[in-house]
Amino acid sequence: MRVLVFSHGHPTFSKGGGEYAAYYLYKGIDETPGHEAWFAARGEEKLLHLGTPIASLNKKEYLISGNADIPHLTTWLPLDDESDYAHMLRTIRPDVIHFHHYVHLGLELIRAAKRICPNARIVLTLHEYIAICMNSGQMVKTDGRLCHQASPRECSQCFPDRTPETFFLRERYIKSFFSIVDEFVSPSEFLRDRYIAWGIPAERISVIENGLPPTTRLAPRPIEKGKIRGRFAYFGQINPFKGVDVVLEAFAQLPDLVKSQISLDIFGSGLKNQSIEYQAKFAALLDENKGYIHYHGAYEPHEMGRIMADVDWVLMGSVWWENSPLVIQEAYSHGRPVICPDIGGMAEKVKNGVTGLHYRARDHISLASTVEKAISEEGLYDRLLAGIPKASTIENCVQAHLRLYESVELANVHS
Amino acid sequence: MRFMNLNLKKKVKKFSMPNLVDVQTAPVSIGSDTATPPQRLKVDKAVRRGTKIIIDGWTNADVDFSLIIGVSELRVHREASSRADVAKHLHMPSGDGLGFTLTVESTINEPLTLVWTDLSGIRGLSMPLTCALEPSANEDFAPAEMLGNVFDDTAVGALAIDHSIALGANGILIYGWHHFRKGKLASLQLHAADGTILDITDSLFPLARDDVMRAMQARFDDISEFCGFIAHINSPTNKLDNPKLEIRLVDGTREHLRIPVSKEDISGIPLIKDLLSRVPAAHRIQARLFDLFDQHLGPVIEKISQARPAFDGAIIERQFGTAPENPKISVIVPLYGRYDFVRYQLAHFADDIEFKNIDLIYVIDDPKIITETNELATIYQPVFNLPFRTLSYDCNLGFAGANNVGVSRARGETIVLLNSDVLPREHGWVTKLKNALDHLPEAGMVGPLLQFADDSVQHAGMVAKRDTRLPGFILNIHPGKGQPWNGPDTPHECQMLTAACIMLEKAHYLAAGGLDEGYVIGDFEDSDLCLALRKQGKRLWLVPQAKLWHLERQSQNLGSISSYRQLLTLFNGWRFYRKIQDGKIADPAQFTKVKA
Repeated sequence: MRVLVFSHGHPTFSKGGGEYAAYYLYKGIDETPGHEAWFAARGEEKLLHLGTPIASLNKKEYLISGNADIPHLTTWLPLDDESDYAHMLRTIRPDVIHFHHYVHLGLELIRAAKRICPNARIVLTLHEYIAICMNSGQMVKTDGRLCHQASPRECSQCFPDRTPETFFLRERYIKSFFSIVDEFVSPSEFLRDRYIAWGIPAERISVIENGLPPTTRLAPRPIEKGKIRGRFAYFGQINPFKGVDVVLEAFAQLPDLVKSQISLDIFGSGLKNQSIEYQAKFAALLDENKGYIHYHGAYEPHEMGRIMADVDWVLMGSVWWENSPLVIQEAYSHGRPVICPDIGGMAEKVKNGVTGLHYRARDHISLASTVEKAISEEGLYDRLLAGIPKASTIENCVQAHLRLYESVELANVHS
Repeated sequence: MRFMNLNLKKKVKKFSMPNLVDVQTAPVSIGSDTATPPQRLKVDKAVRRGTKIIIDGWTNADVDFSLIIGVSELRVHREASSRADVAKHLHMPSGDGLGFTLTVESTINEPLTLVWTDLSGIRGLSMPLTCALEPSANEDFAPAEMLGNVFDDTAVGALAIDHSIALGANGILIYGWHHFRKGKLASLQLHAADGTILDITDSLFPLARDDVMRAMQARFDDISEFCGFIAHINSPTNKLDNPKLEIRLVDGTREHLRIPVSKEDISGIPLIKDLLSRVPAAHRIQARLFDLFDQHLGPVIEKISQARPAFDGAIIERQFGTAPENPKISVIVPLYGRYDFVRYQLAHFADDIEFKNIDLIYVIDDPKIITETNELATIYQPVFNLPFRTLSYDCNLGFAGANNVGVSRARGETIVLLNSDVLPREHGWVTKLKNALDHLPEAGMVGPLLQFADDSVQHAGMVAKRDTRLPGFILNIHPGKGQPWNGPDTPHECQMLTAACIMLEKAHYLAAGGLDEGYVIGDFEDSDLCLALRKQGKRLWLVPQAKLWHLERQSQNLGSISSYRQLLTLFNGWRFYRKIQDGKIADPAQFTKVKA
């Protein structure tokens, strides 16, 4: 099978979970005997050539121009039969065209792909909630509250300068392209349910967990008898959505006796992109708690094993729903339980009391008591370790996708 | 300011009564004739500005000034200035101190007499000064704006002409305000440029002028808010004419005022906009608006509208995609302002197989968006892979005109008029309408159910309604608008249908004369077309099986009439009513009882 995977970014230039997932899928398929895959990722203008919107990095990987923003998701890339886009598709002759995203790329690529390759199956992976929510696809209201269901009227409350009709048109436009997608893939049940509620027929969305490169499960961190499992780590972007401030505030609240026995290590980049106020708050919390909280900055994926070896718990602070956070799969693959908010994709992937612990989302007091429970409850850690599932590997993910591709019948055009 | 209340008669008696001197026409001699240089006085300018009286002039005599207003003599504030021109005239070495500006505050509206007193106490008095009214800088006091167009006498009344528009053979429109005390005014006579004199006393249509009332009620306690007026007088007037208004008072006095004719060279819609914009506070005369159009503005606007040159410009046609070979149906979508709807519509037509053989026409009725629309068409046509055309021309014809252009180029025998903000809910809607048009009894026009984005009813047929808030007018209402659609989905006959989406035979459209472009900018032309078909015995059907969304843009709210655009809608409403009355189109009341 010949598979072309589109991604909103190339992990060489844009290191996000979605970009890696798309790239691993392409690589995995391409390495599977009997199959061949190509990768086309949206690239910034400066990475491209003059006079063509497409630049190949090698025979299998392309960069393609695009600037489809979240409000409009539209591209002005030429898409006629003589276009560079059509040329690329005709060269690859894919049996499956898998849009691992459409943001930055533009929804129109989907319809043009269908026209240029009428016999190709169109598969689309849903990541966050960009089709549903204009607020960065987070389904968090612009005043910070969690959003449970979008509607043109409610969305216009989040964006007072836009009318409800703007959101209706946006939804209608997106759906006019989704109607020609043969099959959707969601990495979580939670996200799938949100898109079903939004209008995608349930039978057209399959759940396939993202895969990770094979990892050796680590033994628990060796500790002396009588010592507690008090090493916590946070991995991820430093931004308000990821809620690292919730985590810091929770630890600052812990009793001094607890503080003296534990540590929190923060790994992640992005602090510099945040507002001055956010940076100041972050710095102040670090400073007040410098004895046991350490900020390490960015890390590379290959360092994960070494870092995880010294960690007992992986912590999440996200204040939005999440989909299927990579960090949960990484924690599982290294054999570490996760403490996370009790909402969305996180609550789905982490079973409370089985593979990790939940706390009340956005509530640092709840997190503080969960941390106290984690270090004090007899037998809890061993029980959770036993409950941690095998993480999905790239191999699992690739096989699931290939099975899906084979099962997909070309959908009739839906209205 | 200190007042010296003097009894002039007594005071003056002590001296010989001085001759009253005209100090405004030319310099006059005062004091000794033998002095060298001779002593002279001249008033260059006397104005009232709000409550301030300002007198500019010059003198080389050593005199003090005061002012007599009515029976009071007031001290003045004097500021000296240099007048080199005067010095030269009088052969004096320097003009320093020759000029003067006298100011005094007074609200008393009585004749002004300038008084000068020399060192020996000898006084001279001027004839009553001719005093101009000037707009005050810090008061929004509209009446004072009218230099020279104002009659004002506390004992009698006041009248001001604010503006007037010469309409050539169609007469003249005069805007102003007036208030006369009971039993003072005999008549108002218009002196036309050609010398004819018309009595227009009863031709003034009262308008609300709260500003005038507030400014004048201290002096006229019985003045009403409706002291404003507009008058259309059928006296041919051109821009260069200088018509006058004569005020005849009961006591025989006659005052002449200049009617300031606007020199602005505008016609067509800008002129209509101008004359409607000058109607103040229309909401205050809401109950009389029909009469305003019927008696004054309606026929005038109709004439201005008719005088607009017919469109004969070039129509540029661009084909996108391969034109269908033999389309039976043309879908005509006018674009004005927003062109992005094209993208949304194409996305919804794209997978509807019927559109492969439909003659889809976008009529760009807005020169500002021609480039953008064609650019968008170029980009998105390959994406949506549908054939369509754009028609463009270098003007804005309005909804009726744009559709008429579209129909004139339509290839199909059946036409659909469609708004750009209408999106189909499902495929096959064109065929549903076509079947209904072909098979329903006497069907002359069919339309779908139109729904808002929240699926509530936007249009399920249109009904003419008399509105008690706007007596005289017939307005179109959409029964059930904003409420859930509860069916049934079987076709039913309607009084009228909205042109946001209608289907009819091109021949019937043309036989009815198309959409009437006499409705300025646009309103009522769709109901007009409905009633024109009705007059030919055709029936109109709503076909709710076909459902489309209509994201009706912010529509006008006639609940509060505050803009010219709303007045224009009412003009169209007046015109619609007149056409019904004149039997040019069918009376909707014939078909369904017009709701009271």
